[in-house]
Amino acid sequence: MRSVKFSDKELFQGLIAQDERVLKEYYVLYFQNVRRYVLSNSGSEEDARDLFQDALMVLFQKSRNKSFVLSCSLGTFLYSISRRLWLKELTRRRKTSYESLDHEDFVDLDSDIEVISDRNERMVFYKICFEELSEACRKVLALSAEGCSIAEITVLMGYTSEQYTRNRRYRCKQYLIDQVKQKLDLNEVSYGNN
Amino acid sequence: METTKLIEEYLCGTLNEPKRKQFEERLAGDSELSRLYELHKEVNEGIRDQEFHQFRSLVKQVDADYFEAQHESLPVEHPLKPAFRYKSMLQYAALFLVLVGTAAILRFTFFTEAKPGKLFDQYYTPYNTDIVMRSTQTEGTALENAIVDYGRGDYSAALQKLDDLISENQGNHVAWFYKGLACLALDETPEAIRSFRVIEPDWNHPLLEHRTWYLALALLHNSNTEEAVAVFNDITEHKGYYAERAVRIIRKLGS
Repeated sequence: MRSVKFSDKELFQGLIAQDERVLKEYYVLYFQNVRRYVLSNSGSEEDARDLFQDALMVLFQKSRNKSFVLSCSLGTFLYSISRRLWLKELTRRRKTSYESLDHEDFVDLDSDIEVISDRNERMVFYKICFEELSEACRKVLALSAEGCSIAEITVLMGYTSEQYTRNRRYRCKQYLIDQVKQKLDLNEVSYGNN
Repeated sequence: METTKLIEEYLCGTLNEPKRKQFEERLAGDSELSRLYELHKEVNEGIRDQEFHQFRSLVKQVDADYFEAQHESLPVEHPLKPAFRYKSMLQYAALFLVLVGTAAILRFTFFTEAKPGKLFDQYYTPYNTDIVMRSTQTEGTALENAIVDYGRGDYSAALQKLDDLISENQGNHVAWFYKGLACLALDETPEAIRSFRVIEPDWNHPLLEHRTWYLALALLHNSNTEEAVAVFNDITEHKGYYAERAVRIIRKLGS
């Protein structure tokens, strides 16, 4: 389905620019195809919504890679991402047989789609664990992640010594990592594949 | 925690050359350490990547808006569950009506538009500096000492130190921020507003959103309601830490 408002290029650039109007157009143009595919393959309405969001997140991550070039229509690409992710989800749910009513065009994609999707899931998960930290820990770790030095963090946080700041940062990070490890099954997840 | 320290120092680039090489040799030979290192690195990326999280929030919002608009018109295509869907739709509709009715009764019976002063009392708390409180004065810098005083509730002492700092350097925005906080705590609201306003709205600093919040509260306290609402609206648009509270205040003001 083609947009009368935006070209593929404008849709793609609108995604990168996080333009709300453009994102709405993605739903208008592409969601129903994805929904039909999911419902026809053992999925629910809720699954279709979640999948479409995940597909948009994957497309967003792909778009941030400067070397990425779209070699088919945007709709086909997004459908292909959704299809790939849904097949992976069905495998995870151990659905050994399903009826595929795949009338839409799709392209074969690299396995990096699944890698990106897994990484996105972990990013969201880390953020959730991060938000559960105390405000002070969040501030210290956020400043550290932004590249602030120990000296700068000491002043900004109003701490009395750099050693205290250093130890505070380590404790906060350790606590965060412990929370992540507790909640995440490390046996199923591998890191640094992206 | 020693491993955490080592990994963090490596990621920050603060390990000296011999220790860095030693760590890299360990990484190459220790798969467990390597996985832990990748986890630390990825968690740091997760914290840092605000663009990703902003996009995700936007997608969720657009998704919610789309389905709210589409709710009546989505075709029921799945052949297996129409009865269930109809029943659950009726249940949700009934629940929605009950909730709306209850909210309306509560709203019109008990809640009138709140006065700015009351809202200020409800939402103001001193800024949490989260520093170690000591009974004796520290040997830290003047700014640190001022922040210690503020954290202890000794706002007058904090204000004196902050005024000295500002007279030496008018561009010390952290000092202006804390001066605003101290003045607000001492009920010197016009001076608090002035101090917060010295700091530009595009100040590239983690304290900016706190500055904006306390400015809005100060305006509210000073009965500059229209200006306060404008700033609260700004806070809601940025969807930051104070966004939900700002939304509630705007609602209670009837704006």
